[in-house]
Amino acid sequence: MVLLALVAGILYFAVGRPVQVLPRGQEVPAFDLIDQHGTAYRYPDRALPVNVYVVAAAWDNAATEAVVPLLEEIDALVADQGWEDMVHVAWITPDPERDDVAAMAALAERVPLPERLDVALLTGAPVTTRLVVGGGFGIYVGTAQAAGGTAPGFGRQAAAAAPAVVYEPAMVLVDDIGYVRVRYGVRSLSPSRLTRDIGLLVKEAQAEGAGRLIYEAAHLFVCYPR
Amino acid sequence: MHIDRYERMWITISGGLLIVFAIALGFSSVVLGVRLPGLSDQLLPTAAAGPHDINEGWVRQLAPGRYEVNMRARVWNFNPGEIRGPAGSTVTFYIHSEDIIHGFKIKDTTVSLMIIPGQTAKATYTFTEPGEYLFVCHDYCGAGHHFMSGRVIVEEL
Repeated sequence: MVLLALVAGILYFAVGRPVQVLPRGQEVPAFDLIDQHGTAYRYPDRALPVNVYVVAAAWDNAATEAVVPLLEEIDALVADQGWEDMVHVAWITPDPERDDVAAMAALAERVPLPERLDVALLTGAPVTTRLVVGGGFGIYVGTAQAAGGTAPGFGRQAAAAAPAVVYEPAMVLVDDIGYVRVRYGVRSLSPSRLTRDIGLLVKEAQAEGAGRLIYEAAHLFVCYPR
Repeated sequence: MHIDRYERMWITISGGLLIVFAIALGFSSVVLGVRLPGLSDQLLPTAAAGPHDINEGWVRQLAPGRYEVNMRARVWNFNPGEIRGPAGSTVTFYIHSEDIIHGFKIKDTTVSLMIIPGQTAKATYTFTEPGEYLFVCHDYCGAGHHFMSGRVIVEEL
């Protein structure tokens, strides 16, 4: 009977998924960037248990329009749950050659960013952003070789003079130990899914002692949300 | 009929497990709605393929030393059939089948996948040693199965 109860318990844990986790992906390397105030931003020094990274260019108005409502959703969730010390938000440009510190500061002025979140708008050396966005987050950023050639990035401004980057605006959730846990295209991301996933990560980060072991077991049994 | 005590015990355990599995299967499919992955569950490279067509084979660099391969498998070839990169590269393969079930095995590595139509198989591997790595279909797929191969060429830095 004990054996049967054990088997039934394991089956319930694996199939019923009473504890759910997001899969662990690539590890994010440490990096140094600069925020919109010209201040050095070092990862993981500013990281919190849940880190939300937006990858979108400052010149990409269409991406910005898609991202802002999602940030407002996060802001409302954080304020509602009292997770101010649990969730950190940063916005990284994939096009640092155009989006310098001044451009990111202008973005902060132009876009109604939620004040409570204290969103860091980051730029830096092209090689660093490439390593973070491509190597860390696994997001492809290419270059449009000629106007009218390769399909431009989402929302690319037609009048742009220099070759624009070609990319898909994305949002990435990184956990407290530096693993990418989920990656979305912002065009297809629903606010309910985003808040659900942030909630799962916060719960996991808050787990201690035996609770932490249960979350590790959930990883072992692939208890991912459907 | 006499049944030995140990034999009865194993019959009981086996029968009990069958009942537990049947209940779990019914519960998961009917109550929890668990189902096999379909087209809507495809894993796509990054958030989306971006400027690249998911229906074509390609290799793209995400960052120095990090690559993504979108591979199409069909009777009886892989597209792309040859992939080149420097030693130390971490390569993520996303493989789709255009027709029937295929396999994907890179010799001397841990990469071994089953490629099911309608789904995307994913594997990541870091090629530390320079050389030529043969990859083959290792799931019998018809008369030309033995021709279905390609190679990853890892060049010295």
